[in-house]
Amino acid sequence: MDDSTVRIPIGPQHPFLKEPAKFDFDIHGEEIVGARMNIGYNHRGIEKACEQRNYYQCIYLLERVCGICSHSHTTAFVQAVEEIMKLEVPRRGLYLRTLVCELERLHSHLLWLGVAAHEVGFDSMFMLVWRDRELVMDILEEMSGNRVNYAINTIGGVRRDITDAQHKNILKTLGILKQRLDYYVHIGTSEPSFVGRIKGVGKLPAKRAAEMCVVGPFARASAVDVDVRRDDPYAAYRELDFKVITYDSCDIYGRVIVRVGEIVESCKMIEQLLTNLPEGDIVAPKVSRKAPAGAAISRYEAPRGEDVHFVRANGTEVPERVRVRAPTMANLEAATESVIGSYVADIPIAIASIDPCFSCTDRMAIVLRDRKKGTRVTTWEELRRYGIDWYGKNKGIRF
Amino acid sequence: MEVIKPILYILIFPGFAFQFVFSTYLEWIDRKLYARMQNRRGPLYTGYQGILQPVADIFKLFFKEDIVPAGADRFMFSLMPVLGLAAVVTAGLYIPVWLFTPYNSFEGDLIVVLYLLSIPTLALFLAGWFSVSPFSLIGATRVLTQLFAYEVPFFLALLTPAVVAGSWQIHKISVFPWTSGAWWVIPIQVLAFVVALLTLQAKLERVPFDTPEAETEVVGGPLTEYSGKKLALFRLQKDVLMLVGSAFIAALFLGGFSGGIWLGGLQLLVKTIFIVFLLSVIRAAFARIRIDQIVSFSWKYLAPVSLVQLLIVLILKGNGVF
Amino acid sequence: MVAGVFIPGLLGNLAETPATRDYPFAKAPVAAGFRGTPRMRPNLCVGCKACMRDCTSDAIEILLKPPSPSDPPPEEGKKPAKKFQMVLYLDRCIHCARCAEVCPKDAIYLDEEFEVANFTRAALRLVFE
Repeated sequence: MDDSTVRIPIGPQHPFLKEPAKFDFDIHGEEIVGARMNIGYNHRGIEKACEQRNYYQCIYLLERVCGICSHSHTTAFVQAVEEIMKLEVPRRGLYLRTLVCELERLHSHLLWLGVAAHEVGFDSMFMLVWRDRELVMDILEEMSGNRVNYAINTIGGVRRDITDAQHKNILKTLGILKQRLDYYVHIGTSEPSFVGRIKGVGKLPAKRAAEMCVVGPFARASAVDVDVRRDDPYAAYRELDFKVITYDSCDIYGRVIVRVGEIVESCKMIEQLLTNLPEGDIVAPKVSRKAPAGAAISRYEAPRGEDVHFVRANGTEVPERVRVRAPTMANLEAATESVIGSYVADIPIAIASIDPCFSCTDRMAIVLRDRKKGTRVTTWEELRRYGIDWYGKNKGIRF
Repeated sequence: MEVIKPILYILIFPGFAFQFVFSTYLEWIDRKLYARMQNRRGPLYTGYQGILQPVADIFKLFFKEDIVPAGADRFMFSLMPVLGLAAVVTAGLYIPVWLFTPYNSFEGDLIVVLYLLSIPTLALFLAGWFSVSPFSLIGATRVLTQLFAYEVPFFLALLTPAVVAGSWQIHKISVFPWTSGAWWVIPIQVLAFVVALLTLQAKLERVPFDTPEAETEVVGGPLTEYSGKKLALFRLQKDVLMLVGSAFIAALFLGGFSGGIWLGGLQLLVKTIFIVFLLSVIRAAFARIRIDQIVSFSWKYLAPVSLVQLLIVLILKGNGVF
Repeated sequence: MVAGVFIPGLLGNLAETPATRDYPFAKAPVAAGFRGTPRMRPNLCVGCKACMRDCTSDAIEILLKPPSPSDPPPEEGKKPAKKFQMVLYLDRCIHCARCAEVCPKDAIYLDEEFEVANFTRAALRLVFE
């Protein structure tokens, strides 16, 4: 690092970040030559809190891991628990769950489109896209009782059914949304000031994307063809006919195209779900409050990518371990690397193009063994014991 | 007695008080139009339909804590907002409406105004330089780079009406279409008008030429470390610069504000609001372009277009058409 | 690519009514079935404490209501009927509606009240008796 390299810290507080995270960039004038990132500012101890609450309480706690992909976390958790309990969810329940999944994808991608426009200063598009996102939020409020944090899942199915009026309303809203979306696609792809900011920026070559195991629309825009809905179907996705959108430009323009394509596909999927909605119960009868001993991994395609939940049960009402791996965790290193070589002006849009959700990301990672030196650092049990002892000694709190 | 009149001109009309009221009014119009184009309402509650919102924003800043960063040169840090505001208010004295005294209308005042309008940009750069923060530094370098991009097309575009009228006095240029009877010189200068609008937008550092102060990239650019009264003066400087720039473009390209105080004042109001309307549309319709894209856009498109316009005007003038 | 392709749409918006509501000066409408503040009907409560057990954020307390002279006298040979009161800590409630779902007697329901901000903590402690 010679004298002309300036190090600027971006974060933990910065106008472009919606949540705290720390980035350090080394810049030469306007060009970025080095980048590092640091997370952990949003750690709230949710995994630990799950170990003291029964399964039903955990559902609503895990919802609050993230506001935008709240349904992803509850569904992934509930699917893991249902697998441990060997519970079969009735088909209507699965369809309603998938309906909310796709509606959430709609609102999340519309939110991202607005935020991406805002990061490049295109505030008019930001305002108009968010105005149309309100249509989706209104549907979700009618269906589930709240605009975010829908709390519609329960172990064995869903809690609320859909009325005919809501059914018709959803189809009508989708019609309006599709029209407006065509207009935004037209603007987004033909306004030279906008396209000039996103084409060729934040490039992540396809080979590197596959090496770094990135997930979600970030990967699909670099021609990595992964989608959990097709590769490992869950909920009602086995019975749905949909395309997985990929693009090979590997830059932010590709990510815009992929996400907008996914919005269109989601609209089609919602129409299929509503037309083929089966009759029947929405929740499995007689769900036990205790889960038998066992463990399960559940994968879910959140709007941001692959969300993985691991649940271990030990026969009581309370889970023994819940582990959440959010999609942003997989994408963040690659995103930090993709800005090297571009300009300072490209930092906000390049980081925002992975649709970062640092609230989802901040879980604790345990380093068990230092591979190079071979020395043991600490084990999970020791760490847990240390924490309990510390709180007992210093704060007088007994766990 | 004679010394009282210039002081009144400077403080009341066309000086500080008039510019303060009119520029905050124009900021209100800009914010309302920008909001309405985005299907929102804009300011609503302070005063009738929010008309006092810009004034309220400036007054609120006066009551906030004023912090000077630890490593900054205290004197220069505090001088910059005052310097910038003083320069634009002085430039505003030359708006050719009604009061044509030797103090604010003389041959060559166009050049004086153009130089005065370069000072706020310099003040912004120095403000960023003297606040020792990496974001301010990036913002300050961007201010200067942008100055190199738009200054030449700006000057060329404003040179064109001077060539047409054969004079360097703003008042004479603005009434030339009426005094010479050749009203059609207004439409033939449309290219210069467009270039002047775009370069004024760049001088004002509004979207799409927003990079020095890009909120999502460099927090506040040169103004990152400013707060309280100093920030209030910078905001006021930006407002008055919009007023002064729009009034000059209206004077030079749209036929001036002749006709005494009432008719001239009405023309000033209508024409300046029209220019502000155009600036708001430009602000709403584009994304923020990067500094390298600004420089290439200016030198590839704006400068050649203004040269072409100048060529047209010189040929017509040389053939004695007007 | 033509620059300024957004302009016709924006100018058209000038003629339309704004999409923003005048909240808080106009009432914000909520959908039917909105999950607002939990409320309890004390005469239906049997004191099973299922809501307390399943509340995610420990926002509910079910307490035995002390007997008061205005209670009706008990029947011959029977103990006086137990009455319960619910204390709801609105600053802990996350409005998940699990309490309403799990109550066997349908004593809890959620209304549409969502503007629950207040200046004192004590005002957020609701008692239903």
